[in-house]
Amino acid sequence: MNVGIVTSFIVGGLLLLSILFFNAQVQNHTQETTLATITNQKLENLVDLISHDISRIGYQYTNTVITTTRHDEIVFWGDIYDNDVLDATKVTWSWKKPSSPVSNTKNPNDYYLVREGPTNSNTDDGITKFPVSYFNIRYLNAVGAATTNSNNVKEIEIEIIMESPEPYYQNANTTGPPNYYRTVWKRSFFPTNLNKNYY
Amino acid sequence: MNDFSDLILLMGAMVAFSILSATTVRSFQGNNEVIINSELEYRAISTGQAVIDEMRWITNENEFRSNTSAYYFKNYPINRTITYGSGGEYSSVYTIDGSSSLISSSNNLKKYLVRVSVKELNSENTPIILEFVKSFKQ
Repeated sequence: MNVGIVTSFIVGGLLLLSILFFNAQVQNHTQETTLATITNQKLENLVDLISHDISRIGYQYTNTVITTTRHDEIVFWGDIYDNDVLDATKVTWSWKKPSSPVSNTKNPNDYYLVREGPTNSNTDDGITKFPVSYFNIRYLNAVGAATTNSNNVKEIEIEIIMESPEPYYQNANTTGPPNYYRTVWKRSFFPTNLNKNYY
Repeated sequence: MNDFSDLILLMGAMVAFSILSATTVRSFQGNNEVIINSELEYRAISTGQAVIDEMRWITNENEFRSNTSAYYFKNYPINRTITYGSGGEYSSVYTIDGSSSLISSSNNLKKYLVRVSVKELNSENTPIILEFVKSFKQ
């Protein structure tokens, strides 16, 4: 047996293995970065929409504004878009856990957050769905205490956690436990039409 | 191996590969920092927006005057811990600071410029700064 050839095989094999692991690492990291970017973008789109809706609560509406105040669902009335022919419409944001899991992704933690409300100038009850991993609403009164009385709500605190639909792996070994990129957003709103009495 | 030239070639290959690995890892590190910092900044903006949203509805003008005991930012900067998740699994501490100054005064209107800055305590980001103008009818 030629010692030189054996040594070359061993050294070459080690180098090849290093390159393979390195390649896997690059792929995993690229996947993580891509998933992070996509997830953050999706969260931003959702935040834009929900912020727009919440800031319009009660706009052009004189009856009871908020009709449901649950931690996973809010139903309210307001003129969401000025430039449509619809006046005040009912808007519902409801997190459908556990009734409506997202089945077309690998992530087992995401459930649909459903918005029902105006989507164009002719539709006042269009449905839009967002896969989220956590959704929570708190309703606070004028002194910042939690309340269930919708007439006393002055502040609405919303929290959303969104995870990537597909997993990524920490190591080159993709048989390990999957990781889902997770991003979170939390904000308090003091909608104009719930607070203007104090103005 | 026949001679030392093979060994030198191998060492060269290993050095080249090491340089490539190190550069790539540095690039990964940079990417991670950008992602984490942008997320922290995004959350800091939400926190700042909430402060401004709250201040919009203050009716006591003294809360905007820095020389009064009612001044809103009297005890600022403060650290505010915000928890996330159903059981508060995560938390971040934000340093919130702010100021208010009279920018316009007439017989029937006073305007105050309010500046709120928020920074995640442990991040190396520069604080985000949000401003708004509050008016009081005289």
